[in-house]
Amino acid sequence: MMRTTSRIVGLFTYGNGNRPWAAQLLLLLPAIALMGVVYLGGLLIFGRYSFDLYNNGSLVRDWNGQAYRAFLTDPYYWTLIGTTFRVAAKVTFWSLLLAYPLAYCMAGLRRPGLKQTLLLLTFLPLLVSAVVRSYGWQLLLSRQGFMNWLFIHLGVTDSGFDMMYNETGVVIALVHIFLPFMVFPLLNVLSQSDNQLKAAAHDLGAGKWRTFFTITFPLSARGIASGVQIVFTLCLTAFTTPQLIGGGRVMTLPVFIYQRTLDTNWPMAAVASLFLFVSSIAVSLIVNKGADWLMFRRTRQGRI
Amino acid sequence: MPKKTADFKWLLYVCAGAVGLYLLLPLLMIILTSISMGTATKFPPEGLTLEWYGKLADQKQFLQAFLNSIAASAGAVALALVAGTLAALAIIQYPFRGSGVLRAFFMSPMVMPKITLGVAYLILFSKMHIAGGLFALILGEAVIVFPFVLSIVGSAMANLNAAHREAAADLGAGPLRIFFTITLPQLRLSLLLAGSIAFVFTFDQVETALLILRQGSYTLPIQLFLYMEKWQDPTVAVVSVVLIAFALTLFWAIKLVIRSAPGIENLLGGGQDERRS
Repeated sequence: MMRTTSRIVGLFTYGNGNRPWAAQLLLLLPAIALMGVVYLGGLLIFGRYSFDLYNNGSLVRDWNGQAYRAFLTDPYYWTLIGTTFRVAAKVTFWSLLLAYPLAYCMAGLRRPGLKQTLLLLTFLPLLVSAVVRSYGWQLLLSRQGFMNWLFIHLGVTDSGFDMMYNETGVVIALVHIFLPFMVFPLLNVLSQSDNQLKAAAHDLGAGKWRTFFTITFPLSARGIASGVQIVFTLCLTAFTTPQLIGGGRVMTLPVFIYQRTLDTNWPMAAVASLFLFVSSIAVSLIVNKGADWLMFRRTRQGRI
Repeated sequence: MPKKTADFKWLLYVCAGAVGLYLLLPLLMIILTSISMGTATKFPPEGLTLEWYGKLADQKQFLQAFLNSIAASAGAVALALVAGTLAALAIIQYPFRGSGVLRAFFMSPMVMPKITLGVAYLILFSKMHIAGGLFALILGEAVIVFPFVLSIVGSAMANLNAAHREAAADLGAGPLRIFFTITLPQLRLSLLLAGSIAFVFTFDQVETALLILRQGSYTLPIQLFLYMEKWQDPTVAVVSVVLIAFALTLFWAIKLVIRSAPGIENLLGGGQDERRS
């Protein structure tokens, strides 16, 4: 009995700088239970449904690749994929265009008070629910909303634009939602960049624009890459805003998955989910490798 | 900054200011709508009134939803903090064969599309016969915020000085005592930080909650989402203003914590991937 007890105690005590495996297992147990059952279990069961057959509202257990075949061959699904990627690309482009001046301005500010205010301004929308922010954009973009009122009074248009329930509205609102994720990585690299390099370029006779394009911009490539990567993947998987602003008329993959889930077409939802997951990983990898390759090429040429 | 001519700077400030305005505009619009007269939401409003705030008291479902949200987020964060800290103790303090793979697996919910997780939960929880309730949501959200806890607490743990623990062990303290008297007090700020980030994050979850929950257990974002799909009166704006105020309060609380603890920025800097929700 004594030996058993001391053995059990021995399993949990330190010996030569290593923690015994039983203690390690015990520590990992809650995490493994949670992640193994809820996360992995859920995903595996969901994945299994991708091989089932969907027949007019009922599911037939099967090992069938029909949903995969349909998804990859039917042009309808390619339009969906096209819409999803087009929206993500537009949002990424506009976020970069808007975030860069803001981040550049914030990095260059000497007054900490002003910098704090701008930082808070950028950070604040992140704390507000995406539902609330989408609602704000509904108010702004609707036919009787502020934007159309402004445009009519400025004389841009007589009858107002349609900005709700179409891609334009979704892009405008999504840029708002994901802009902070572009600003933070840019701010990170821009505030770290070496001012002496800029001063040197200036002393060597380079103008402001030349300094910007040969020094600042290339040095911020890392930040641009991570911003693009984050915003693009977040956009691919965004659901709330396309659903609320698009009103079901802007069919992106997440909206499609939601609708298929509601009419219990789980095989199709599973296949679309798998595609979404794989493509967001692929985009991350491509952007990362692309940035590495670009920077490596530049370094080898000795331009940085 | 090298010398710049004034006109260039001026242009830059205008650009940055315009982007700032763009960031604030929806929030300002919501505040204006919440005090506007009439049921139709249009600009300019017919007049200003506070009647919608008064009517909020009759909308019991929003209060219930708010309480549900708090309960679900608190539960999920507590679960993730406990599981995450224990896992970090195993993975970070004594890395073993395959701990890298395990860590990557634990971090992977970050890149998993939330809508995918939502459908997976819906199927799993209906099989487990717990779909529709808050307990299911707590389990599901805990998975989503687990990576935040693991990376923030894990990076703090990696920075701890092992000599403190060894000294305690030499003085005869057992592993439990070492954890509660040495490690835990040193981790309390990063636990607080991880907990508050995770709380804010779970509070806003739409995709998973929308698919799992049923009437009666809706959280606030879901209640708003469903209300918005049916009605367009300023009630949504009023609830949104309350939510914004709540978010601001949380933000100031977090900020106070960060102010009171110099050096905590390094923790945030060490885990930049958290920003990828």
